[in-house]
Amino acid sequence: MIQVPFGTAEWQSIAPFSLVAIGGMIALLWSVFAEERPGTTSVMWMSQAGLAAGLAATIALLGSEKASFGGTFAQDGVSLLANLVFLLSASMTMFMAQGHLESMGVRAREFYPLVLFATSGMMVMGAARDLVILFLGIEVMSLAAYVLAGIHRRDPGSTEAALKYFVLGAFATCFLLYGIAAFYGATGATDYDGIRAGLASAPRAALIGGVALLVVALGFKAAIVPFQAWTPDVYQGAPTAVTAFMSVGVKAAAFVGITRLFLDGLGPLHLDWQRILWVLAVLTMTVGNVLALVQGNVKRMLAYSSIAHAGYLLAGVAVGTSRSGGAVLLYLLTYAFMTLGAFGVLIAMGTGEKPNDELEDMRGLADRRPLLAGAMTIFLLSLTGIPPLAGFVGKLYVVEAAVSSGWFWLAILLVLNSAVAAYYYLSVIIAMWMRDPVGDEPAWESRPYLAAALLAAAVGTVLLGLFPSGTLDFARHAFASIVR
Amino acid sequence: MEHGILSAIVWTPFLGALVLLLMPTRNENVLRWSAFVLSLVPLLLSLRMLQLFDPAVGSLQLSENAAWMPSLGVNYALGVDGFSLWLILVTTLLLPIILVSGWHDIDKRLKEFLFFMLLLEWGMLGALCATDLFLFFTFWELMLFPMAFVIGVWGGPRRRYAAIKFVLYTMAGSALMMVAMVYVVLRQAAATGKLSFDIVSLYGTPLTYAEQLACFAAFAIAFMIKVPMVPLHTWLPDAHTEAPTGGSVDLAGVLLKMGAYGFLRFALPMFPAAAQDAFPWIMLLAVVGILYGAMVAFPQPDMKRLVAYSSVSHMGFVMLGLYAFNTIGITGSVLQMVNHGLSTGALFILVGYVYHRRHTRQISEYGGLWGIVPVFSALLLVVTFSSVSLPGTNGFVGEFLILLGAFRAHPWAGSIATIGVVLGAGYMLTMFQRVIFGPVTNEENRALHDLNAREVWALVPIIALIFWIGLYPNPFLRRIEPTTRVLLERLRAAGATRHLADEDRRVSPTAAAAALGASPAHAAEPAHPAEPAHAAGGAHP
Amino acid sequence: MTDQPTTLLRLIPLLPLAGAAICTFAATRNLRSVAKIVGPGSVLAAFLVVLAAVARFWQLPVGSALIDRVWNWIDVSALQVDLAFRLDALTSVMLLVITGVGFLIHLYSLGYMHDDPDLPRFFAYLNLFTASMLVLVLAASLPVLFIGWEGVGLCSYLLIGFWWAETANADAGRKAFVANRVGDAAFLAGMFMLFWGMAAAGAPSLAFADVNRMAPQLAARSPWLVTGACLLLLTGATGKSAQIPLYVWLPDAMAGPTPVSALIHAATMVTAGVYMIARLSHLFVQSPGAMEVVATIGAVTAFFAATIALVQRDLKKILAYSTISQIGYMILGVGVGAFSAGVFHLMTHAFFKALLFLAAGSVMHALHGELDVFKMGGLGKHLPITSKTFLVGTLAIAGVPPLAAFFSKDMVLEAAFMHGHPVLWFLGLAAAGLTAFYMFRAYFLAFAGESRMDPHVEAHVHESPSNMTIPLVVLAVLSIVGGWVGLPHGFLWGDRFGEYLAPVFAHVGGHGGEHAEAGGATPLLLMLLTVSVAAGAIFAAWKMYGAPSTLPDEMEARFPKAFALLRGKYWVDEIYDALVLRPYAATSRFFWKVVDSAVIDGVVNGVGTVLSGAGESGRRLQTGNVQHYAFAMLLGAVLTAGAWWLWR
Repeated sequence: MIQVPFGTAEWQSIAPFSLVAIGGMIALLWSVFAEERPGTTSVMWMSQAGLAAGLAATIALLGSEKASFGGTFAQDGVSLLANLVFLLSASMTMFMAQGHLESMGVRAREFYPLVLFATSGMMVMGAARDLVILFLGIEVMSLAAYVLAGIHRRDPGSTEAALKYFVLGAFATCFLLYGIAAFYGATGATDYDGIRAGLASAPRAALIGGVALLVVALGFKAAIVPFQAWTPDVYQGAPTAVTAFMSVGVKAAAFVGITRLFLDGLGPLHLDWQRILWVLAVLTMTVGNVLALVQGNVKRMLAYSSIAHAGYLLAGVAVGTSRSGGAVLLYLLTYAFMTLGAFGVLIAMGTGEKPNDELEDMRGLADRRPLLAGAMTIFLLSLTGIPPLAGFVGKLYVVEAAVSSGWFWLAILLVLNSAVAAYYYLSVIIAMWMRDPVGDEPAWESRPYLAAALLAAAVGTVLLGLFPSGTLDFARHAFASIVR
Repeated sequence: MEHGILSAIVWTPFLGALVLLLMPTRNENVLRWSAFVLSLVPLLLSLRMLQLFDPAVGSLQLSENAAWMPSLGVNYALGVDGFSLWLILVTTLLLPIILVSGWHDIDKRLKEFLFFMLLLEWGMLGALCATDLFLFFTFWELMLFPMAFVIGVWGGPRRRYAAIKFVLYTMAGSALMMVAMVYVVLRQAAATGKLSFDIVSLYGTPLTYAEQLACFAAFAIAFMIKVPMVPLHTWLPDAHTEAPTGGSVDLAGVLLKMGAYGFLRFALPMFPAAAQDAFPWIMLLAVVGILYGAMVAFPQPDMKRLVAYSSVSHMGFVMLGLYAFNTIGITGSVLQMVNHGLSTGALFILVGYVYHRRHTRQISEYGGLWGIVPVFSALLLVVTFSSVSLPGTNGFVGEFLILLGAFRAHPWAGSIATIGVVLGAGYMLTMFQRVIFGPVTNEENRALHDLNAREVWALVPIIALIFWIGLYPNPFLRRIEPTTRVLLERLRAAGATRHLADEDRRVSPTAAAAALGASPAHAAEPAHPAEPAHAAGGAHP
Repeated sequence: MTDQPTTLLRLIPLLPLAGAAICTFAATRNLRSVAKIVGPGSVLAAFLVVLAAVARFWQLPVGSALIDRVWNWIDVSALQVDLAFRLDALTSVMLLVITGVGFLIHLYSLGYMHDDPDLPRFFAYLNLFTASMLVLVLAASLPVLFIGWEGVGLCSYLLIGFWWAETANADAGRKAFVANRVGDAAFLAGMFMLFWGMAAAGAPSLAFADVNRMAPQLAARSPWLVTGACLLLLTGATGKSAQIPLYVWLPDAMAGPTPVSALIHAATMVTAGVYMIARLSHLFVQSPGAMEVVATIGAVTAFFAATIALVQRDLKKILAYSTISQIGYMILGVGVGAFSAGVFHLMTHAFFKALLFLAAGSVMHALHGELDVFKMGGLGKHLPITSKTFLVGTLAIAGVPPLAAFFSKDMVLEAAFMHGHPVLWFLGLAAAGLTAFYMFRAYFLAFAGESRMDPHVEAHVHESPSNMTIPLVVLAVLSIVGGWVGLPHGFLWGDRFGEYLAPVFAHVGGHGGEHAEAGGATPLLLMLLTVSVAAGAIFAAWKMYGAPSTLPDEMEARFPKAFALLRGKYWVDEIYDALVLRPYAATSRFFWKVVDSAVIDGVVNGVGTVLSGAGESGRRLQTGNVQHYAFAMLLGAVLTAGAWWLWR
């Protein structure tokens, strides 16, 4: 290992995730000492404060791109924008979970600190320019995520989800480690600069093996076909707030990691991996959409939908230009708003007794709760890709990046896939608006934090759709320095 | 932003929709009146636009432009020309008519209905006014959903199937259009170094023939679905049949025109060479559509379905005229879009009247209505004959110009399409007869009450326009023709001249005078349509 | 040739149009007296304006016309159509016939429709019809003519189905409109062809004056174009004027009230085709082939329809087939280039056929709607005026000198013979004989002999009121003297009618005019032949139907097939039904049920089914079993690596 300096730049670059992690620890301690206090609001706010500190640090660093730790830990536009996505999803998740977990009988104060730990892991992943650091980030994130998935301890579904996630996650971690080892063996380095330098002289078999292993490990986190099989089970089993967090935060972190690895570390090999990712992208979006078509459970449908979106994102990675990298980053942001929003609506649907997340439960929602139905409609239309909502611009930029690099078929398959996807999003809209409600109205609770989060998600979905220019420019600019 | 009038037209329905949504009242009459008054605002504004519109100018006018997404070259750009002018007016005219005619039709969630109708108007007006491809695409997709909601919430028994079919058909088409749109913009950027979605600058995009062909195909399929052209039409009968009256009227009146409008505004001028080579195919599909739509309309047992298939036939005429590639055909085609909107809109309103009374649209349930509801029958008579384009009504002028133009472009297509005139009389008169004439077979019909003043007055503007356009269409034609010329000039300049008839080239005054043995003023005159100076028959005292 | 501008002409169609509007209003308020005044009054006013206009026209130099340009109607690019009216010699004749005979029929309707609750509506239609017909003949260009052309079709549709409660009436109306539409579509196509031909010749116009003037140049540029356009226009004429092959609607059109049959289906609308061809005479003469077709259609129709009329029992049906046959003469006339003869016959036919129909209406009125001539007989006693005027009409149509049709029919036949169409002449001659026979058959059966009436009916038989009989008398007088304006060449004052119209028409080349060879003995011989054929036929009719006779039954026993063929009207309706209507309905249904619902929607829905089927099967891979998932991951890794390795 090369000797790395530890100066101001290093301090600065680790500040965001460190602050979040520290915030998490403080909150954890607080939750232990404040055992007698009823409710979890104070822990939630304390955790939000940790996120805010991380956000402040991130914003403070905007515009001061520099490499730290000898170039193995990036402090650039990509990591900063990715941090925004992670912090946003963590913060919204916590707001949405407020009251939700309690109503299910989960009085788990550790939920909030765990979200913070996971977030700090994501932030590490977003900045990692070294496979070992990437590994660190993944593990920090995953360990917290395993626990989160099982946080509803008395629910067999939740426990099963956690166990599955953990077992398969451990399996994926093996792949990651072997991959790192293969790379080290082939190129003599784990940092991206070193890998780039060593690619030319690396033995082909080791390289291919290494890349395949890394694809499995990262594809597992990002829910890319055929490494996605856990996703529906875990997403459905986990409490909805956790699902939202996993489908946005974890996926985003995985994608930032993938994007960096392929565009940066494996940039010179792009002619090789592009075709593989192309196939995987098309496979992922198609499988996700086709399977989503036949789901009767909205939460599970959204799980498959998140697989489909992983396919769209991977398409952006496969194109492999700074344009497409920027598109992926923007897509992650748009995806965060609309997906969190959609899951948020599902959370709002649930009561203590029943999750109410079947398609049947959505019937007549527009009659009973018009605002909630209206918000859900916005999120679903955005997921469908209707302009001028956020989901459309996300997709548009991926398509634009693909077309501008001559990847027409990828673009066409992407848009055709999104036309197929319209069917299942629309069927939820139809259920909400065009069918009459069945059964008695559930005893919904009023949850101001959730309402605020939904409002924020809706506003974000609309505004980001209407005015994506600044964000996109920033994201593209960030990737311009990465893609060489 | 020099004018702002177009922005006002586009956004007042949106603001109106918001106002309506935020209105605290549950009082239905207050809601109806508010919506009606709100719908008058864009109508008045669009009349003002008509006043500001300069008939002599063929290119876009009353333009507005503001940066929207600078990094993508997307602008908020509006403009109007002869192609969109009348469609905008039809759009703003139809909404108040819909609201008045269907005053009591909606019996549930009235506020939402009115909200979606205004939102729909917003989307349609936006798509018609947009002169930025991105903005157009945004509105193009946006108007889909209010319509889907109107069908799906307030429609008939199979409304959900119809709504989802409508959305999926359209989205499948527009998905490819989006890719092509991005491609063209990128090619244009490669050539000029500047990303721009501005329509006029995209007209000059340097594309190879293969690129043109592919992009044209993508655009054309999206538009053909909307028109709809056979065999991409099967969403229409379902959507029309299931939609509530107001939805059907807007669907027939404006939404279908978006397809033909898209050809005029985008597909033809952007890809002239490919558009030219598609000539035989589009001609074929247009003629097939005319005959096929008419034939399938003939045995329909449901009035709305019959009218829906008649739309397929009528829109076939529109496409035929559009692809005649001459001033007469295209001008007629644009006029026919307006005509079809008015006539078919009125037909749907009338069908809605009896449906509202009897809750059935089965033709066999009616018969002998003339003696029971004479005013209804008389109005249906007028509209029926407008729909079969009797001379003196609007339909004739449009169809005459279309067929005349088509005859020039392709005599065989023109001839075969003329058969549609016969078939049109066949199915329309059969329906009219079975509903209005004959003995009263169903006792329930005896209790029908005739149209009240509100229902009659709702149709008066349409009836007036039917005769106005039929007898004095020149104010309409005069504003369409210059834009047609601009389009044809563009095609000519792009070298797509294979099917361009030389009908537009001015006959030299002296040659024509020699041929006619009359004063040269006559032959020179076509350039100045407004001048009344020449006498029929070319004979001057 | 100069045209004098005026604003008078627009009043002519406008007055009945206003009448129609007022009557429509009256219909909604049930103001019968208003309609009774306005209905006939507006046509009378139009007649007076026509007189004024014609008087002005007569002051113009020969060959000039009055022109009234109302406004610029359609104006796109090269296409310029003015809403303009033009009055020349031909138009003046038509106007006088339409408003004059039209007024009489309106007057008659006052009595005939007296008890009908829908009288205002009837007058509204009738006025609208008159306005359309006037537009048709006043039009200065083809498109404006087409307004009237389809307008009369609309009114015919409405009037045939006037008693809408009967499905059969409504069916007949629809049949009339659709059959007319077939012709109209061809007419449109002809117009389009002509327009582009004119445009190519440097004169894009559809005004009659331009077309007629340019006709020689058009023919020089492209004879095929002229022939094609003429044939298409002719097809339009066969629809409107009920000629083979589109005549089938006219017999059914008798479902309308009898004044309608008189006005529309005898005197005016059905002559529109003749008028149109005469109007475009300069164009038609440029295509000898097309003229040949015109003449042939006319002659064949004249003969063909006459044979069907031989065996009909329904008085109005007899008159209907007779109308088809008589229009065949007119078409024959214009087809052989004798345009003024065709128009002359048009005029005389308007008189006597209106008379015959109105008289038939009077009979119906008296017999409570009975129309079967075999259930009449001896009506002369009860209906003195009706029977006498009917006899005048019968004599006129039979071609008995010196009644109107003698001169006009003879002129057509003579022209056919002299212009070198002996076969067509012979057909026309035979038809003349048949006409005399079937008309007198009808007369004898209905008015002469013993009564075969139902006693209940007979008890109530009465002559019609004066407002019905006065028009009969006036028309009877016209049927007698109407032909005297066109005497044979060189006889007394000669053919003043033909001279009056001569400036309008083209002259068939080579013959130097319609009567180039007149003056020889041939015309006289022909005339004698025609008269003797008619006389023989009248005698035969008297033998068979005038006196008690078993001859008809014997004939039928000897030629059962011929009678069946004629009674079945050559089964043309059935043939059309089998060859056109049924296949059309079946194809429509096939398109709807199979192509649309099964194939296209099948594909659309099939896409959905396939996708959800794939989803269902994909679902089964989702076992929930961790080992399977891990295996999938492993497999994915191997495949990824393998693909990479191989796909180089």
